[in-house]
Amino acid sequence: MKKINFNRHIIFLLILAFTSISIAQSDYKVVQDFKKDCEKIEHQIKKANSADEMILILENIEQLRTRYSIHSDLLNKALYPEKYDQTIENLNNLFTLREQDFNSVEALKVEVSDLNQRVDTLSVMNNELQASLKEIQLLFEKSNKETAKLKDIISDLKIALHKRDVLVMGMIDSLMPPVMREKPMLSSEDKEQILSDAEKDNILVNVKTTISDNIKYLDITSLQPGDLTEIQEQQLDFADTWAKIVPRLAEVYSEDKNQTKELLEIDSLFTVWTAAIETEAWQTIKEEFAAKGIPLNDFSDGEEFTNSINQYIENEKMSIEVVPEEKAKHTFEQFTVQTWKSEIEPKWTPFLIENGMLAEQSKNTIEENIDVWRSELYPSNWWMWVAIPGFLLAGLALLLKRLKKGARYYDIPGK
Amino acid sequence: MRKSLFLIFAGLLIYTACSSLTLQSANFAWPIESVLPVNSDGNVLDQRYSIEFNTRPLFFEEYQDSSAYMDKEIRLIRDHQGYYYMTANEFKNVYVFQAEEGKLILENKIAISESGIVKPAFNQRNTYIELIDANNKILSLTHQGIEGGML
Repeated sequence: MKKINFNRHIIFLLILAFTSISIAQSDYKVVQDFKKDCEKIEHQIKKANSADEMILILENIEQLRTRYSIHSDLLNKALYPEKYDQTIENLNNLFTLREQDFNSVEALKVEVSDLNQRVDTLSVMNNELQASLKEIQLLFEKSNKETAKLKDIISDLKIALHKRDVLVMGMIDSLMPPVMREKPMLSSEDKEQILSDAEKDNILVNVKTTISDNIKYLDITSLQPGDLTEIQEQQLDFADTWAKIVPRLAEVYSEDKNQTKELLEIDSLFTVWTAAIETEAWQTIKEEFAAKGIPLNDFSDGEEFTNSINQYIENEKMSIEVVPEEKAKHTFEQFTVQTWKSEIEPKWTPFLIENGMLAEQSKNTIEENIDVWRSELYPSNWWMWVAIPGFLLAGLALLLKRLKKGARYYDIPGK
Repeated sequence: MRKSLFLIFAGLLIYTACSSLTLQSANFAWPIESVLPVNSDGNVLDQRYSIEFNTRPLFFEEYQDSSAYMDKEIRLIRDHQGYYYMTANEFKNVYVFQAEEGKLILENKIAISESGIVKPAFNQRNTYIELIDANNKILSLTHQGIEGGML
């Protein structure tokens, strides 16, 4: 019994001592500790990198609220301008905002992951299609059946390439939302986030593969101006999307020489892509002439193209005297009617002029040369139209004169 | 008799004219003390309560050295009656001041410790100011002095 009483005394003394310690606490220190704890949690919220960390922070806010609730009267009086409840509410609001950021990021991650899978699938599909295309081009003659098959494959490849272009553009957009692009300076957290996402999604590799495949597509196909215009528009869209993020990526990769080199490679690939579209146009025009049996000197720009055609016309004009007339006229018809007037002039010259690949003046020069060539092959007989009516009029005048003489002779007896 | 009535009446008239308007039950208490760093001129400024004054005379009074304020901070609190309590680390006294036009007038100098108060802190309590130190010693202060002694 005595022992129990002794224990009770000990406990009482301990409680008393503990109470004294807790009483001897500076209100100022309580307030400062509360402020520090709040700042710590604010910092944690701003620095949080994952949803898991956010769960811990929520627990910290709850612990803070519980720990300081016994001081709520003091804190409500001492804190200025915000009170205790308002401070806790502010932390909760900050937490909710940051949580929304994470939810958006998570949603974007899922979207990007889905896009990645689709890009991979399309890349495999593209490779297969390209392989089939090459195989068919090498192995078969271009019979009607095979040509149709070839066209189907080219069409499928075009659709697949376009789909992947759109997906990769979506990835680029997801990597750097407009809000981040518009920031005057990226924070170190932003940079880390972009770096991690770009590496995870293989952004640079995907962009390079996409451009290379588009260049390959131009290389292995023969396209019409409509197709090229469509490809040009896609290329411009892609280049525009890329241009929006590349300064930010350069900022992020400023200390990584390899990645900076990759960015430069991508820039040069865009230039190659633009040049490939022009090359493809000239190549197809050459094929159009060759298909009609018209041998032209090689050309790869507007000036060479004009010179090549003018040279051809000049050669044909000079050979008019030495080849049979029928053959010369057939060559003229083949060039002018079958090729220039029906294919090149209506389909290609607007595209070439619109894209600055051919000057309007050069086209006029070609047309003038064609007219001269025509006039040499089919000389104009305008003088006959003058001479025949002249002869007729002269004959008529002579006839009238004779008739008049005859009439005067008959009048004499009557007088 | 007439003269007496006249004097009473005149007295009442003078008293009424001299008494000013008074608002009662004013409470000047700050919820917590302010810890104010002393700047190179010896001034302290509390932005929340808009009070600024020079502490050099205070440090001179405590240490007999007017440059002792350098790199120091003072702890300041106002009680419900409007008296200001000031002390600093290793001060032997708590100084109680009353505000007047453009100055603080010393009301009381309360001796606390011969060896100096280690890490003092003021807490606002209902009718007094609580002074604690690093050894958890608690004193209840009013502008008149220590009220209850050490706990």
